[in-house]
Amino acid sequence: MSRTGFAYDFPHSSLLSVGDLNPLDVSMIFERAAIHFEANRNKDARERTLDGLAMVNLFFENSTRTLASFEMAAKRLGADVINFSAGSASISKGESLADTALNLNAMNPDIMVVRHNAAGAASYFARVTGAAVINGGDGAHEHPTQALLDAFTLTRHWGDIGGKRICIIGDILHSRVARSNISLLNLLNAEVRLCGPATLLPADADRWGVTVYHDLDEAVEGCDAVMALRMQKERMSGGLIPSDREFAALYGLTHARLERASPDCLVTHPGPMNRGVEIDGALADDPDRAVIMEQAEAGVAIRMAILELLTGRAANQRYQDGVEDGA
Amino acid sequence: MTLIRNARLIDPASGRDALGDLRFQDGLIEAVGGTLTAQDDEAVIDLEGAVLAPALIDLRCQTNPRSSGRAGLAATAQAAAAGGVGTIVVAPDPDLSTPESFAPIDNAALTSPVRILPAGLLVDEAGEMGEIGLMLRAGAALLGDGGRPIPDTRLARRALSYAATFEAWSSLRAEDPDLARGTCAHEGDLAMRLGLSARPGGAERMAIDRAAALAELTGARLLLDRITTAEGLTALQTARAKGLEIAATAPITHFIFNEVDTAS
Repeated sequence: MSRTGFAYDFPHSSLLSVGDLNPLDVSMIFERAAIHFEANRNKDARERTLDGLAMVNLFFENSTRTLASFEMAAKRLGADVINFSAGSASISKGESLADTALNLNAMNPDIMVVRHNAAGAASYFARVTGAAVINGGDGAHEHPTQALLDAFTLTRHWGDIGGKRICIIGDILHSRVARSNISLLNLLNAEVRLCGPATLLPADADRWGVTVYHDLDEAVEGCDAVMALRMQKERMSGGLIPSDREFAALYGLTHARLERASPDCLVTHPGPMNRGVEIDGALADDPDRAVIMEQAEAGVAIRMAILELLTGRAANQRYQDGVEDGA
Repeated sequence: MTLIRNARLIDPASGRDALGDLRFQDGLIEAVGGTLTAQDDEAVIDLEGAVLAPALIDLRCQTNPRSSGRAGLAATAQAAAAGGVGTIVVAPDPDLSTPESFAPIDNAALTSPVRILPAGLLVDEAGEMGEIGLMLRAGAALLGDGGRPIPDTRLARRALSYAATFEAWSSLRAEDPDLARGTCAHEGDLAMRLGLSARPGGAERMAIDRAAALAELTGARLLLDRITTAEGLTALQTARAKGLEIAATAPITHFIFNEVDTAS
């Protein structure tokens, strides 16, 4: 009996939204990331895959770990990296986004990572420049590399995300991390729950393929992982919650609040953490529960995989399944 | 055991309103209705047709929990017991926006002849949301604006949305603060003749329409505080017809008097 071989080439040259990915794309990213994750633990992890390519990190919003993670990933692969961040001259001088994009494009960078407080900013750069553009976070819209590194971290523990129950807790309204995670976890067939006060949940979030909870104890029931989110005070105008104290009492993650979750429930946090508000310090530091440092480590590996695949230089650029039976 | 005879038994929950007897023991009703025969050594009270009804609940008791005088809780609770009110909800005031602020109420409840429950402030004077979740945990029966409408509609939306998280009831003053500012009478021919600064019924209607829109948006359960006008009642009926969970209170004085009485 003959079987038709199936070949699939990674089709993307930019990463703007999780919604653009299919499960095969994700598994190709994870496959490369797993190799980098191990290799990065060696003393000399430098590779030459991106030799000769120039990457611009264009961060209109402040960032420490995402910027460092992208820079580390690119340099590990041998690319040249230039960083522009919120304090940089062109950004603080009030140049329009269009002019910044066109000027940088004129320098012919190969890769641009864009973070901006406006939803759609990275898509705009992808449209007007010839570079491979990675969305490093656009407003409260998407942060696809964060979702990929979160899911990758979980797959390292579980093997497969499908069928797992995951609850995202807290300030979902302002969170691009939550939006990207909801898309990705649904794509990977997880059961997704959201939990927070009504003021921090998007209207009609129940249409997003999730179950919405307001009570944390109910929400974490039987969960295999919980994702804490940072309270994004800089995006909040006017009071959305009464006080940090009340938020911590009602929605703050602690060991005690996880008693109804699965016994080996994992805890993620995209950082930076407000210890004592959305997550208790003791829980964040518990190596049996929290995988927060592992997320930071996985971030570099995931971004290396994405950089390789978007530039067409990954070893697994083509996925092949089955062989033509010659008999 | 105690037998009460010849009572006009009124129970709104079951729709009962009839003359009859009632027997109770250790604070619980043993038998009710019809004619009951007195047993040996049973105390018998003849009500001669007076009303016997479940104790009333005052959802909005204006008192100062921090005062020990006539306006204080102890005196208020005594008055409530004498008047057939078995539960009083202390109206929210600017000092009731944290669970700790309920301490004087909890203390008074320990020795009170009636049940005393606190209500929490939705939004404090600085425009910050009160600690709604913690106050509900600490026993708040409901939340409220403390009789002062929340002027910032976005803040009102958020506070009601947050309260709706816990399916709590929120009481709102049904009054447009701009139209009502500085007025002392209902706007009409008589108030005009008397030269009084008057508040139009529309001030109440607009506030109720706004509250209804916010309830629709947030899923909040609303208790409209002290409605007094026909326009307000129409707006309330419209809101309830939509299936919104909106109830209202009316001051007893407005069942007895109207602005004509101000001239006499």
